[in-house]
Amino acid sequence: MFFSDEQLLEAVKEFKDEALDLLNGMEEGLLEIREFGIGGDRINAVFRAAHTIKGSGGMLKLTHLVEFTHIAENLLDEIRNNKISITDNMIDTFFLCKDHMQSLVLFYAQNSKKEPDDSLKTMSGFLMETLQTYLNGSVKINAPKKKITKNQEGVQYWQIDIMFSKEIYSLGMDPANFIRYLSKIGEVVKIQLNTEYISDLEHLNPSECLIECTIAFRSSKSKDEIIEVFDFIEDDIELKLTTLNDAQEEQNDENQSEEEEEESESNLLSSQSIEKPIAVNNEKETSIVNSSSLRVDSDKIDILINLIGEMVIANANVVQRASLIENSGLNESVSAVSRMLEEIRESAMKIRMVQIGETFSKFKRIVHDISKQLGKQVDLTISGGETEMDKTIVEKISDPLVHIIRNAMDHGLETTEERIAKGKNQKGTLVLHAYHDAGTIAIEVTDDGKGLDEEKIFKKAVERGIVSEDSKLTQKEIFNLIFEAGFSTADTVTAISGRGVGMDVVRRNIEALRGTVDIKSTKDQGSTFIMRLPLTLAIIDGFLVKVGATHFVIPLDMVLECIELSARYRNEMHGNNYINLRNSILPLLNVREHFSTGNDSENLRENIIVVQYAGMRFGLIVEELHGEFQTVIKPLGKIFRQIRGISGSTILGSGEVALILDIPMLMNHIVALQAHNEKGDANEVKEN
Amino acid sequence: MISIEDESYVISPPTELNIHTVEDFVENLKNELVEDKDIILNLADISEIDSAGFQVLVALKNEALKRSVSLKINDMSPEVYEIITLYGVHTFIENNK
Repeated sequence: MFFSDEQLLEAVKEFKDEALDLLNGMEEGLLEIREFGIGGDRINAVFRAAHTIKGSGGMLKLTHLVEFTHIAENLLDEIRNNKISITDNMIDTFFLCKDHMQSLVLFYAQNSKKEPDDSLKTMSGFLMETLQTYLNGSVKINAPKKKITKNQEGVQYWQIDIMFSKEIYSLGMDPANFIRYLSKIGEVVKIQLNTEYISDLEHLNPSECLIECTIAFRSSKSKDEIIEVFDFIEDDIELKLTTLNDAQEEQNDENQSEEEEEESESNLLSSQSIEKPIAVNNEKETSIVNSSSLRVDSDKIDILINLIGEMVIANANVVQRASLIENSGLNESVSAVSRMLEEIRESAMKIRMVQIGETFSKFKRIVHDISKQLGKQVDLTISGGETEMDKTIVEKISDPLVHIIRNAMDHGLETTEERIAKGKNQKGTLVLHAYHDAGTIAIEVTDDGKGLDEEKIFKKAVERGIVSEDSKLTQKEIFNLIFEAGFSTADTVTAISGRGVGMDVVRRNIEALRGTVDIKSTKDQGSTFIMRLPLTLAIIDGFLVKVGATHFVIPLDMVLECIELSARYRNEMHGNNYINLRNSILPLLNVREHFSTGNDSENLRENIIVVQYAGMRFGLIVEELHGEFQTVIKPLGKIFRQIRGISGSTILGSGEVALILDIPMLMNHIVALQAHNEKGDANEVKEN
Repeated sequence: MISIEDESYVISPPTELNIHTVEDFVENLKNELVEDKDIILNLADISEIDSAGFQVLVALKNEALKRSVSLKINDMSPEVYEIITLYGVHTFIENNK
């Protein structure tokens, strides 16, 4: 076993949260499809949800869930490829599938047992049959005998869950007789007795009825007529009828959540219609889900942390003033408050920060399983698991990471034979590496496989109509084509990747986090996918500088050195924007010019701050250097979000605002400028 | 009703295995099946069986599982076959016949 049972359960729980989110998204997507049709990205969204659940489920060996989802996914795939057109009945079936997947996920999360219980399996059977019917096409024409949707005769499939009361034998009733009678008004397709409910001999009380079963029932009778069968014993039975059918009727039936049954089983037996919105069902499930952890809107925590940041700043002021008064009692109180404030700040930050290691360890299993499936030998190296990340980012990065890893193993790494032929170590290596890269978090997935094939990618993109044949693209642009929706270089669709769904999700998810993803690849040496994500909230070490009247903070980790922009350098520049720093070219950016920050103070002395990001470096021309500074990063307000080159702000002890420079953005700006101005200079800028 | 043959318990339940007879039958089983021996069920003579009787058979099987002994069904009457299939416990037969 790769995972201990405990770890597996932990992983399944993590999967549960993720899956429930996906299922909610799926439901929303389906609702939209029903209203607006499959256009836009709607069908893709639903498909992706199913695909991801199948994928993650597969990693955790939730076989039953995977099998079930696989069929649903197939049908969705046919629909999005316009091979099958979606009908309202189909959408309804998908709703049922979604609910059923949810039940399965919850079941797995609560039980370490690998196999779902019988009633769930019966349900799966029904739904899979329905889906298969749709997949076989021509639903209308050759409605097969076992077609689940309502046909002309009004035959429906029902799932009947029955639990008889223990006293039923003493009333002279035999549950078997009711089941026999059922077959007179329809067909008992299958019956599953919950034998676990019957104890062993030692604990058996033979006069108590222990019969509990799930019946797959097919009949043209109405729900009330079926319920009538059990009229005799309506007080001594817990009955749940679920139809696997279309439209309105199903809604009524489906909505009978357990709570309803408990409260009013007799009501179920007698009443004509039970109209409760679907939401009731969902709400109940959600409340169960949340019992172990509390989900809080991240905005609320943002506000809290912002407020605490304000307090830290205000407190700095108080401390300063108190020290002037020189009252020992006051000083003591002030320092007590400071200490507590520090603790509050730390705990508030902790709410959101988690080590990425938990997520990473999940990948061990994934890599293990995929390598088995593919018959490739893979060594996984993980480093930087202790890197702390915002919880929301960790959650959202998990999907894209899974996709990248799967793609790397499936498409990147060669088979053992190929590797031997190439003289490589027959074991492929996959490196997962996370690190703080000054104000950002970088996660790298590196494989030592065959690398990206530029030609093949370009050809495929042309084929798919993503680019035109005569377009001239740089290597980077070609690599980026694999992030286009619907792009897939695999000639055959494998179970692992190659449906062309993964990589566009990767980019979408990362961009949604205001991050970037880059690819480095060398033929036959391998590829590296680098995701860079912003630390939206954190306290970083900054380097405080001043240009004109404006303070700027540069993330300290990016700062390499500071040098004076001496007359010598100035002379050498000849009006160009670069200098020769120890025999290598250092492009420069004049912060004052770039941000047009006033033109007062007739330039005293200028300094160059050499910064490094993603292996490249450049210099920022600033005026005053104020040195290291603990920076509480605060997001810019909405109206300033669009400003390029500024990633956030912070408040200084004096109450002034300092802007945090977005080095990656400025770096891009410089690279673009250089590419524009000169032909080959950009390459020389590269360091190491 | 219960005898020991070749180190196995051979059990022949009452011909009418229903709510009226199960109590005595189970009491009997509890008293007799003291050792972890394999169990052989002779169900050929059962002319009537209801759910109460049926669940005793399931309980016996669960007991055998718990004791890690085998449980074999020697033969069964159509009545027994009917209720076992009615409750869809085919594995009960397959595993033990």
